[in-house]
Amino acid sequence: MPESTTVEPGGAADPGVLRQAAWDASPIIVSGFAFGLVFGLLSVRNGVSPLAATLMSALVFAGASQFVAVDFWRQGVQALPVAAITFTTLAVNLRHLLMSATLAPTLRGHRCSVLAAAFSLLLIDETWALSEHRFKQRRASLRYFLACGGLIYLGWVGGTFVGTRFGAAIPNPAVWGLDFTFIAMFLSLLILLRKRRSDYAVWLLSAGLAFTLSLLPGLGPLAVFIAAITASAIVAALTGSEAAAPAPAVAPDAPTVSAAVNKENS
Amino acid sequence: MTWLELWAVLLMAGVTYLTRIGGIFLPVDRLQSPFVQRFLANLPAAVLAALIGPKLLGSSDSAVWLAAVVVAVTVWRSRNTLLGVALGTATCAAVRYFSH
Repeated sequence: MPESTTVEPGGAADPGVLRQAAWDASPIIVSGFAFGLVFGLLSVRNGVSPLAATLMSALVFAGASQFVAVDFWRQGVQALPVAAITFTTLAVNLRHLLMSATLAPTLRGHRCSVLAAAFSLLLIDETWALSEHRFKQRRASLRYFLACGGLIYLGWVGGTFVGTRFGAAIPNPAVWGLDFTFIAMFLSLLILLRKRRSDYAVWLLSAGLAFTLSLLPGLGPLAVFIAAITASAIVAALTGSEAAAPAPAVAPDAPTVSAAVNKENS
Repeated sequence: MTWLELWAVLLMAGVTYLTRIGGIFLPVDRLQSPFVQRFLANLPAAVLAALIGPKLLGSSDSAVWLAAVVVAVTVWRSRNTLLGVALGTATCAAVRYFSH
């Protein structure tokens, strides 16, 4: 098993790697801060307490799932559907499974517990993409991953905190179109996520199902969950192997595995 | 912050951590099934579409529909989500302002 060859020695800090990480991650740090602002602002407008919003950014650190979760606060903080929020978060973040499965083998020189500690908070679409890209050309380095993740994290949490300060000061959000900002966020993410032609089928089926289910009484936020699972499964079953990415060859002695996930995540 | 909010945040963090470290420990060959791969790949877009569906299809506000088109075209062309969100929100506000 190639151990020390794929991972830099964990001894002295390498300023080159840290500088490179800061440079590579800079656009994401800036937009992360800006989106953190939007998130903090929308959270407070939706009735999330400022502390809970900032804590969510600090503990969860998964943008899309946080925007999705905050939408549930609309029903009032007394009637928070905690189970639905948890399931929906799980559904939105399941893609991380594929990312940790592909990134872990390239950092094989580190113990599983070290990787788990690093991944648990800092593995997001962006740090995964940056690392996968970098580790294809340079030596894999957990330091690089941690530096990218740490900087993006500071921007996201800081932005959220500032946003919650401003959010309460805006008198009538509908006048400013802020009620639409949610739809705009989801729609933007949806379009960015588009990878395959079959995605259109997922969009239409899931949106249509969710709309139909939302007309039924008593289903509430579960409608989103049911529609998403059903639409994903139906389209996955109908699309043949020609539409799918090739399965990655994950074997104990194959250190770099990324083909399939590369195609399916940004 | 209420206790319910704290619980929601902690559970969100918990399930998110599981998805992030799962790939280190899980027998990854389980995920090799093409169906599971496609299912997981479809899921994020499906959740987002399911959230948009009721809001958009159930809305009769022309400002919302127009703004949605602006967002879609902007992000499609520029790949810039922040620009899309900004222009979309501005469009929504402008249409409402002028249609009063």
